[in-house]
Amino acid sequence: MERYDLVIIGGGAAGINALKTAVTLAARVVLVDRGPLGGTCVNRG
Amino acid sequence: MVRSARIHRLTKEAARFGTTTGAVELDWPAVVRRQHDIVKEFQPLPASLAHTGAEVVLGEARFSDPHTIAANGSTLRGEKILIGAGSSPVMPAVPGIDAAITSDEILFLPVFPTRLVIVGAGAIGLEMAGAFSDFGADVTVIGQESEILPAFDPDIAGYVRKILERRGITFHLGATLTGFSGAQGAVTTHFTHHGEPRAPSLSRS
Repeated sequence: MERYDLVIIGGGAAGINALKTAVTLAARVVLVDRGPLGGTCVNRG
Repeated sequence: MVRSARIHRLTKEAARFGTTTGAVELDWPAVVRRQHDIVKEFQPLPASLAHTGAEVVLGEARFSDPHTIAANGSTLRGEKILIGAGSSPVMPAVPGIDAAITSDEILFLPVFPTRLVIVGAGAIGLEMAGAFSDFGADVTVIGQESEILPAFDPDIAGYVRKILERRGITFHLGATLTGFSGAQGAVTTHFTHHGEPRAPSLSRS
């Protein structure tokens, strides 16, 4: 089992911004998305 | 798509602005293709996040306990878990709902709908109503509240409604959807207005 400071579910606007902020705080981060990345705004207008 | 629609309408109105054109025709497959290309361009690839040092797992996520996520064969334990799973349209439990499509599917319709009934007078419903009306479709919007855009100030909402009405969009407000009949391509939308059943209009929904 891999251990992380933060597991993010969803690779849209919220998830990707959370990822970028968390890595600046040296957090160990994994993002899970069923794909494609980008989320509601990008993929469904 | 909204931009494609506005350009289509402005081109039709071009003579009024002093530019003459030939006959203006809609190339719907080109509209859908352009939109598709833009979506593709904006979809981030997992590799584009590699420089951050974070990992990306593609797959559906499931909680196996409050700190553990199972996804695509991996088990991921997080001190914190952030859920940013996005939103999807609600399909109301009314008879004949299978004949209706969602705002996701309307962006990829293979054939342009010349008549369209939109259920929902919020931002997404009106975005689609405005666009499809600009493309030349006969658009009817059914809204549950007494005014469109319930999240906005009523004076602004009424102003927007008048603009859209002037462009030919029909609104049925204070209406409750009761169901659909027919099949895709010739769907009749049924609703009640202040409790009174309304004569359904034959429209593509």
